[in-house]
Amino acid sequence: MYTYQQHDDLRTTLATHGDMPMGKWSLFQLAYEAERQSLSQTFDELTCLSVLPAMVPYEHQVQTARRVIQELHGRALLADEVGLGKTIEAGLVLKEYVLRGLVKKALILVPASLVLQWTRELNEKFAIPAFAQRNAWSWTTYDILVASMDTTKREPHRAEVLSQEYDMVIVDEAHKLKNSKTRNWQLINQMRKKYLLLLTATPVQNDMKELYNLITLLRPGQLGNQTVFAKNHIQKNRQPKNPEVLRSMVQEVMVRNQRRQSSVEFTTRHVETITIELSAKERNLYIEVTEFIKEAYQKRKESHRSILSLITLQREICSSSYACMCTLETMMKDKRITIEEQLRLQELYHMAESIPSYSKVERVVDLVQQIQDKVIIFTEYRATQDFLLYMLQQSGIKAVLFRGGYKRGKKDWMKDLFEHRAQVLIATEAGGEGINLQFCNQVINFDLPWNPMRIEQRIGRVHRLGQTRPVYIRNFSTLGTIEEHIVSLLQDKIHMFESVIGELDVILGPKSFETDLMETFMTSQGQDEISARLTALSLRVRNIEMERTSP
Amino acid sequence: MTETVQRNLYDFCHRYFKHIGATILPSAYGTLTVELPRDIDKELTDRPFYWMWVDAMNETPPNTVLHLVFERSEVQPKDSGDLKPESMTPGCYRMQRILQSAKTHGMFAAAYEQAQVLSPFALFIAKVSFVSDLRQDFLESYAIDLRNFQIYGDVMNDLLHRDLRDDRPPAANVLPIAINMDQLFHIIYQCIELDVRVRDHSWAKDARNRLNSELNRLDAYYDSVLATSHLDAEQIASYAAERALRKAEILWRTEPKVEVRLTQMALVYLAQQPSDR
Repeated sequence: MYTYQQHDDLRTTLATHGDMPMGKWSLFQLAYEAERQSLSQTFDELTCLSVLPAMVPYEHQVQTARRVIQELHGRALLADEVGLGKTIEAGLVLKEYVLRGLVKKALILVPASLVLQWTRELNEKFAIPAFAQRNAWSWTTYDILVASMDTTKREPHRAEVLSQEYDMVIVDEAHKLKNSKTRNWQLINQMRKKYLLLLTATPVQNDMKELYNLITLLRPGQLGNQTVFAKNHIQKNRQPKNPEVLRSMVQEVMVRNQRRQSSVEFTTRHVETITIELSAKERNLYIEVTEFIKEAYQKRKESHRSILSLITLQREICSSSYACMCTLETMMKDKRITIEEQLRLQELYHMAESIPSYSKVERVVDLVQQIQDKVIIFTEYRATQDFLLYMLQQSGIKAVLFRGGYKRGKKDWMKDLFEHRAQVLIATEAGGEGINLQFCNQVINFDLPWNPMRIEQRIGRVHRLGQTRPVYIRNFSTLGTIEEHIVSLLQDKIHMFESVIGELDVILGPKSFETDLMETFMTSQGQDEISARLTALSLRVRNIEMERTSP
Repeated sequence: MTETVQRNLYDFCHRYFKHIGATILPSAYGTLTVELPRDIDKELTDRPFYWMWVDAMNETPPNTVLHLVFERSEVQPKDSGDLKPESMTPGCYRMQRILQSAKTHGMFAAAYEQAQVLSPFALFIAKVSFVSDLRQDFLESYAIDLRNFQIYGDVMNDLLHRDLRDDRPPAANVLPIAINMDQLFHIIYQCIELDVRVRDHSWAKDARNRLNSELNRLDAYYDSVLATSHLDAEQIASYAAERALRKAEILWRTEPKVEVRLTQMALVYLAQQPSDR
């Protein structure tokens, strides 16, 4: 039934002491008490709760840790919505295993910008002696190590990591493992590990297969093999089939807490639409560009060519004409386009160039001056970001940039500058990930991503545990453009900003929202049809949501 | 954190420092100021390079003084010298080092009851752990009567209430007995194994079932993957490696094990045989 192991170290130690026990009885008693204190008394209770130095975890976090340990047996996908404290849950699980003597060697893989933050939190909140990976020796020097995913997957680190056994591996921002062809995924797949925690708020971003790939890392075969999974659970348009069955299977490896179910009190959110009227010149450019995209869209659809750059262009023109200039330039260099198209693009480029001032940017400067508090401005595009920085500086407002590409030190530094020196942080989507900015309660969405999950990530940076003030969210909406529809869809129809949807993802099956929207915009005849089709889309989302909330 | 927890922590530390030979300096209520002897300092603070330097240079730095704070509400006077107050909680770094140090120093002992006629017993403390993907520990105590090798279980409760001292009472009549350590260890291990055998092992049964179902799922999965026809030799090899790895991980994680480790041993001279109260 069980294997029986006997450890002989006391006998060996005694032999080195001359084979006769000697020592003080008082110390013997203390040692006995010390030994008793470090016992795992039962299988059921979390022993770590009584020894956490400086923190009281929330109920849902304790529940999650308990469930991961007792029901999921230490291999789990922690998929709480943003801001509910997945880090804390992972810390609790790790601490519990460490206390029970089940984990000695652990590796925590996180984005580079979070290495120091994780190391600090594990030490301060959990009294877990974790170290940040610094060089090739770190792998063998420290038992509990926090390292950046990108460093780890490169040689010589990769080989070093693969040659070791880890009692526990934790991967933060695990949606980076969604593709089984990537080096990230393969690294985790090849590592030898006993317990494995994958942390992500968005286990599914575009495709049900992403969820499949994550779960295969945890428990291969949980969802059958790929063919079976695709046959049983994916419909043509990437909708899930048999969602009930799928959900119950997924629950055997996943914990997902939602804000509205958790007992945590969040501060209120105030959402406001800021409408902007384009100047005549801007308006002209917008119409011309949209016209161009529509034509190109049809042509490319017919010839089955990628429409990605068109989607980008369409979204950029909503953000700022400055942003779309880059893409126009790139498209001009594409050898496959005709002379006609080439000329057209050039014309558009010159139009964009000749625009003297941007209404949206002017509005943002006004707004920031009004708010007189820390503000985060989110945009999808680096060009917009640069331009915003320039314009804010021109108006005497201190602003800092934040991007996904920044190295870990720079990210920490930027966050620090924002907290202590600057008024505004201008972040791109990728940059928004994983940093906590609870000290700020003002968010401006200069443009909106066409992906609800990404919006949630944005807001989650600010509206999370630890935020003490109400949170103000302002969405920019340019009249008479597609942006107006997007804002109205996400804000008024799906109520994305008030209650957290956050569920368009798992199980409901995310269809590629982006492609869907593009299709709607491109093939609709006139504004009314767009409105009608978007309403239909939102109704579908609402219905599914209703179904899921009713018992 | 409750008051009693902190109180117990304080008591433990106070006793530890007293018995380990540290100098306890006057300190406010709920705090502990102690001067550490060099060897204890080495155990409680993690600075190997410092000690390397001290030893190499033949330096004699002043002893370290710790200022430990157990009561949170305690208001710290600003001018408590150069001492940095250190907040003590269960599980904090310093506490772990203290527990470890206590375990090391209290591993072995010899103690005497205060009476005229004393008989020798070998006292053993054993940690018995049931391990699968979870773990449950039991701390067991046994005493072996060295005259007739009779074994008494669960004796610590009794012994902790007796007046045992480090020094042999001057007038005591202690039976001299030759002790064969190997034999004693053999007996105690055998005894523990028998005791373990009769315990409730439904945990192991559960773990075994879980293990089997995990392995079955794994086999079903890889069999079906490998059955697909369009795999090349390289893919087959990589799936096979992956399968072996996952299997090893499941065994490593779930297989039920009983681990037995003796943690302490003492020779105790008792006036009366121990009872399991």
